[in-house]
Amino acid sequence: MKKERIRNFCIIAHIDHGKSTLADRLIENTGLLTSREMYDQVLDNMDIEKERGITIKSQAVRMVYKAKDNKEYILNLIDTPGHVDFSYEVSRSLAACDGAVLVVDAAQGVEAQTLANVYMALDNNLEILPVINKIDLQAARPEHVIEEIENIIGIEARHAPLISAKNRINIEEVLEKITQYLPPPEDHSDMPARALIFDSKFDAYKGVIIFCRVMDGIIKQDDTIYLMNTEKEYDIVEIGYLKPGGFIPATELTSGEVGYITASIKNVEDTRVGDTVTTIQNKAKQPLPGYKEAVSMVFCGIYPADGSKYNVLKDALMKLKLNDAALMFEPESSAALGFGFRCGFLGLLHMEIIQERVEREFDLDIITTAPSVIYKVIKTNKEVLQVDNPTNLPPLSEIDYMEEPIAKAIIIVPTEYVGNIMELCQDRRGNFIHMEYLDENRAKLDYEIPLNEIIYDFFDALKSRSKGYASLDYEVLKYQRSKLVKMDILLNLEVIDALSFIVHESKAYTRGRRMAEKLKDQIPRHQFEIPIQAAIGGKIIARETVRAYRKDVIAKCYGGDISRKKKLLEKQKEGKKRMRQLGSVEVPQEAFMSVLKLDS
Amino acid sequence: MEKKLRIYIHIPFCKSKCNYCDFNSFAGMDHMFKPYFKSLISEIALYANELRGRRIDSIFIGGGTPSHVNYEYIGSILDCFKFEKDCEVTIEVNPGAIAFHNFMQYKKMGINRISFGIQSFSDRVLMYMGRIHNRASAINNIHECKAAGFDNINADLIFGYPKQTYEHYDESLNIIKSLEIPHVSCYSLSIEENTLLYNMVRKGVMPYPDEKLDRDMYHLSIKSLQKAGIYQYEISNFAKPGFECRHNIGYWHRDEYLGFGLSAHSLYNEYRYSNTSEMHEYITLLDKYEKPVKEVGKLSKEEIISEYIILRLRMNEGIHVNTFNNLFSDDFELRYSEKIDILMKKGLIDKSDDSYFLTMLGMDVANKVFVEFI
Repeated sequence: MKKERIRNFCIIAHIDHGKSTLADRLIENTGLLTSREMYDQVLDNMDIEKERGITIKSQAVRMVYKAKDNKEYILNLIDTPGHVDFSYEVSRSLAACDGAVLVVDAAQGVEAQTLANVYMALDNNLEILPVINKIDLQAARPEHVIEEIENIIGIEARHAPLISAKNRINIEEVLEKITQYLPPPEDHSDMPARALIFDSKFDAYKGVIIFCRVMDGIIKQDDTIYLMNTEKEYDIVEIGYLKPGGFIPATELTSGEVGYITASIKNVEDTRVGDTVTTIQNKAKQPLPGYKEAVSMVFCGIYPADGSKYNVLKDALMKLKLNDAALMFEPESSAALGFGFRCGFLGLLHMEIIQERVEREFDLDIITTAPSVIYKVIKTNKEVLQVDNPTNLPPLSEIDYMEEPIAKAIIIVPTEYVGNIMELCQDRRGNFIHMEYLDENRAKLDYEIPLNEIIYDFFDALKSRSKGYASLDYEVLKYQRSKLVKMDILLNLEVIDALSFIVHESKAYTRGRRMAEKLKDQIPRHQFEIPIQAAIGGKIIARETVRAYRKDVIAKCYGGDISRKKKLLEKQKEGKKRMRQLGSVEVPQEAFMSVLKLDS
Repeated sequence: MEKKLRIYIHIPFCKSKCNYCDFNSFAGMDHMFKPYFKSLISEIALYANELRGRRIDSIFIGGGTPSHVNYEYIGSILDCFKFEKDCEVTIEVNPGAIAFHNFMQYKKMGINRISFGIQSFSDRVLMYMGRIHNRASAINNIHECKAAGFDNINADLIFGYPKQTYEHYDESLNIIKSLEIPHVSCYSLSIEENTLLYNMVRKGVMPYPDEKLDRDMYHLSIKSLQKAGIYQYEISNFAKPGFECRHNIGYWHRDEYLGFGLSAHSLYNEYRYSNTSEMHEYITLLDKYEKPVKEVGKLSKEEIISEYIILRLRMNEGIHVNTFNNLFSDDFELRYSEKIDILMKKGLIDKSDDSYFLTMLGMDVANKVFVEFI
């Protein structure tokens, strides 16, 4: 196949603008799957991806398209994850492409994630083909959106296909324009072999499957590959191209092509996204640029609700890690919760996904402690500690000062909500940097906001204060000195380590009080009275009391209706199952996350 | 000897609906008497196989207010069953919805136990409850009942009702004792959703019942009745020796019973059945000679054991370890050693004479004990 008839591209979009639906239509139109085989959003494989309508893992698919010039083109679509948590993965997927299809919703226009993705695509020198989707909506205003793209992003958009992916309008034009406007890969077949890994996954039969784009040279079926950053060597078992839900084995992959490699690799950690594959036979000197280790930004403790399931939890995390190199975990123990794991995630969504998968795919009840960021603690003896768990904070007397991570946040919001959002950012200790009007209706706000404020429910607050219209993108910028304190929570006069959290001094009083109130609502009444206290360094700043119950009995039996009693007891039992015994107090699992909901 | 069987008949009609009642009963549906009883008889006929060869040990006609319908209807139902003189036959009656000649008729048709929905002897509390009778009519009815020759009489009382005082309740217990009623059921009020009372409490028209007062009243019931020789034998039931309700004990002992009528329940051959609670559906199905059963469930061995424990613990006699072990070829104390340990430590259960039973504290929070065995 001649290189000039290959197009390696991705689709970028803000969430819900129709990326996955368009991908489905392209696959459908190029005849890879009949419509009977076609089942909505082939690329989103996991249940969670389908339910949440987001893409978590990258995927790739090869399509053959016969264009109007009567020539056959190979279109390699590399699907990118759709969330800010996975921006490194996105950047590597983009680096594997030569062009990008930018999907913009004809009613909503350019959003924060659209911008973040476009900037990243431009950083990777990708040619961008804008596509206006959902033109059949009542509220569609394609002309306006085209102008917006030209003004805000600064790319030509007059030729953008006006489509409806959902209703199959103008899909052919997208395919045609991809062949016309997106460039073919450059041919570097004569150079030493270098392929960029944009994803990998674990398969029970083949071992790890590497998804890669060959940038330079040729990788042959009988080569030995060498992974340049992890410094691992493997003999290739199989090499080839990708089709939806399957593989097409081949004898080689050459510069410009996208495909897969298997080599009896047991661990996805050895095939990190962004790493370079070269061959022993034609070894490159330098890896491709841009490789980064995955950095965990958000940490939390995960514990089995039933302490005896520790090994099941361990097994579950290990299995998930097979496919998710960004998931970190190590054993930890808590006085309140027993043995569990400290887990590190790319962001809050990543964390939620892992929790959900553990519960769903492994049928495990887990308790998750409040998420934390990494704080830098500078001790009086000049020693610097990285603390991601409030329990590990040294005594106050040993701390000179602390630093917390600050994120750069971009928020795009309709002008009528700017006031609300600025108030929210202010409230979350945000530092205003810049504001500009994108058009008469929308504004872009730049803020520097402490990451620990963002992980506490910021996204939901943002949505609720803008009727769902505001969009957010953020990345960690720097560490900054900050007055932070550790809040302890006491139940029945005992400190519960798993409920402690780190908070800025200025918000400590309100958060402590709200936390006590929340817990009062969540902790069921016991046979005795339970004081709930919030304390900073031994000083009680808030107190609530859960009253004791005196009666819990079904007095009457209606005409032999035993089932009614049993149903009530079963409900109680279900409730009890979600409880964790902390000393003498039973606490529902949700309580450990309640610190997240203090502002709602 | 023929295996015993118990019969429950549900009469869903009332003269008026009480404020706290969420049970399947209707006021102002008197025009449905005729079709309902026709269906009821059809339903009993559909169970000829189950009834054949069984000795009926008790019949309970409950409601609703069975005394609200003409006694002929009751007679027509009892005619469907063959039962001996020693069969306990109870009917629930409400003061204010019964006349003297009814008692005479009930006696004739073989009814030998009358259960009165007294609830309280305080007119003020009766008003809060939305009852249609008063103290005087209730006392009158009880005298009439005795005059008609009934000595096996029960009175239902409710305690823990909003605005009901300790003194109100003490007075009711005293009147019961002075009337020499040999069986008393004392029910702690639960406020159910979809009742007038629930909405009144929610809107603040009535106060939420005080739990401590509720328990004080409960403990008073036990002490006060005991002084009159009326002993507790189940969480809510008290009787002079020999007057315990055979039918209700049957429920706690997991005896087999067939329930007929709207939303009636049955336990038969380790299946639990429940009938539809829709009047229209009940009648339509029986017009087609189909059983009006809505839910059926075969009990697993685990469920049977769990029911056994929960129901036995409701009774003061509790669980006799050897009986349990023989019945289920198991070891009660081994199987539940951990739970028994915790519950004993919390003071919720106790043991004597090879039996486990709820303590006084355990009866207050019985659900907390039961939930351990579900």
